[in-house]
Amino acid sequence: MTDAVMVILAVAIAAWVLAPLRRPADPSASRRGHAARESDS
Amino acid sequence: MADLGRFGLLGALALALYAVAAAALGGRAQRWEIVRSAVRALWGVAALEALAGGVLVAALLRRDYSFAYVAGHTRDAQALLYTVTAFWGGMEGSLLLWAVVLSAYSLAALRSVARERPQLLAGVAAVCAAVAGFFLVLLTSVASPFVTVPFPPQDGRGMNPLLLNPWMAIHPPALYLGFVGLTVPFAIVMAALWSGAAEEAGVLLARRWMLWAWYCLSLGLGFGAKWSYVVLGWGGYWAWDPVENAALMPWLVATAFLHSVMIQERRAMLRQWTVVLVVLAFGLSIFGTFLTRSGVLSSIHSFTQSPLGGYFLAFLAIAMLAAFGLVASRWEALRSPNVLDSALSRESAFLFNNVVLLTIAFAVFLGTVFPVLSEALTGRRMNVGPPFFDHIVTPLALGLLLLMGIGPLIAWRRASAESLRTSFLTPGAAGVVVGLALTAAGMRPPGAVLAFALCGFVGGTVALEFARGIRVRRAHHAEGILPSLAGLVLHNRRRYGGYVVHLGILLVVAGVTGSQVFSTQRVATVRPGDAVQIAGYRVRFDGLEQATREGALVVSARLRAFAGTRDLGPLEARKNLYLADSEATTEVALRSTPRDDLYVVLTGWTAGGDATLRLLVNPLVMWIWAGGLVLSFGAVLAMLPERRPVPVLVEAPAGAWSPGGP
Repeated sequence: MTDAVMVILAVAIAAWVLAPLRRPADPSASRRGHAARESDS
Repeated sequence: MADLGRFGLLGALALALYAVAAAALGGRAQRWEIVRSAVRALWGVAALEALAGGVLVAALLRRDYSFAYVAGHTRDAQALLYTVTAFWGGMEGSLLLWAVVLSAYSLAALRSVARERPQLLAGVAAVCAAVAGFFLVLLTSVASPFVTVPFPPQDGRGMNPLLLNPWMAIHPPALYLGFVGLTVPFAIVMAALWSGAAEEAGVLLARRWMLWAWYCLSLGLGFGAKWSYVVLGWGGYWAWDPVENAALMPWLVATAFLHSVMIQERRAMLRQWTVVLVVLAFGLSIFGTFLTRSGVLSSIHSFTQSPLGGYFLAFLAIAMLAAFGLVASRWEALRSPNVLDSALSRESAFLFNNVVLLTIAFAVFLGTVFPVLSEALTGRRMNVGPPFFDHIVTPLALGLLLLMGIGPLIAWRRASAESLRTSFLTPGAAGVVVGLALTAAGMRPPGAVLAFALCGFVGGTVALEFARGIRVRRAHHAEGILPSLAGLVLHNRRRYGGYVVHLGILLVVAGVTGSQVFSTQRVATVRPGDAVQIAGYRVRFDGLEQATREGALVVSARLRAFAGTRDLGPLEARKNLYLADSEATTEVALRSTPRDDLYVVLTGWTAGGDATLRLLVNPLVMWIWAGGLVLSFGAVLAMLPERRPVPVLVEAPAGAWSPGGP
């Protein structure tokens, strides 16, 4: 029972954490981030 | 169940390591989807640590003695409250608390950083994850709370009886909230330096977090002092014990930061200095945890036997090298465009304040590590006792008090002789009047008269600042004095919150001076019916009682106190003997008034019913606790958000991270 809970938790958390990497990156977001950084330096 | 706890910690460690790598990589490559994944990993760390914490709490509540930690820190007879507080009653549990608190802080910090300085998100996530990773390495290797034993005992050993006290139940969490809180300003400043935003180095955003950590450390120190006073039964509240000093040092550095950051905001000065203070405060928080958890305090040999100390020192060395390396690489960019215009300026007073605070912190550091240094260098352990600290710290603290009165009175940049004369007249007169009145009333030790006179001076300064504010406000608003005072404070919470904190500090100083200089003590062996006279009190001993309670033999001395002919009512001084642990705890008979505390300890007794009592009359101790309350009120006031909206410097990257969640 505990083993099953641990496996399900591990898979669910890993999938959730890695999900942003599988989505196509939003290039405008990166550009805005870059602009934000430049405006600060 | 233990497997689930171990899984939680191992999973959290894996996620923390991933978060460090992903945040560093994503931040460097400007890949926001990777940073977002790192932030999610930190949410995962928090969830898995909460799971591990839940497993430990459940094991404690079920008194599952197959957990070595549960068997070592609770027992069947232990009250429910202390069964829960056993979570942080031992080393492994307190390290888990560190990690859980850090995760909660990290998530809160990421929210505010994403809202106000999104370009720092990756750096803050990387630093928070790295610190969390270190504690998770300890928790999964040398300090696991989930070690199980094959043959569980019938009953546990229970917590150290000295910790079975309500003040000790809340003292460690408050202290840890402060210690761990110092990680967030450190993470923000490191992220700012890393991202190249050196012009203010994130210090202004870090200020709020530092204030919170400072407040929690203040509470922790206050709770610890109260515990020491009512439980240890030695008559005092502060013993310059290394564990106390470990919390005092970062508190002093954080206090210095909270003052120097005002100069940075106002004049863009001291930028290098404030960054160094943030790094030092964090370093001292880790050093404090190292001191209390490595065993180095009992002997340098126990330190070398415990692997924990080595881990802490290695982490501290790496963190300090990396942090100071980063600060050095941005040193020129942090240089301030402005210089000190005059020695007679508020900047100058704040600078002196910082120098004095850091000198006290260094003296405390030296005195604390001296036994370890002497043992390492000469093979002989030499302790410096309270006299060392008292001799060094007392004059510095009085100097600090003087600066506390001077600072608010001097103008920024350059003060004229005329403005100084006008400003100092009332507070200076208040100080002189207090000093003369006390001397005329017969107070003799000049140090005590000086301390009270300085308290009068600081009180005069604070009163003058409030009076000036009210006068200006009433010139613009048609309102009475009280509504004007309320409006003044509510519209300038930070400034007047700071003044209220100063009032709290001066109450604490007055209480410490009164109780340290004018305490009286008597030890007497008495028979039932005998009375002992001390400092205007008469304490009658009415006999002994014995009972058994929560695994302890409780011996109580029934007492009755009188002031002249006035009956002040019954008192009870107890000794709790935990025979299983060969430990004894004290419950002091205490009668507190604003004037003084009557403090009676039962130190011994005979089979014939005689008792040996230690009686103390400690003047003004209540002022210390009242000062702590006033300080808390001021700090909360200063922490409340200002009504003016905080300007948002840049638009948050839409795809990076939503402030509302991961």
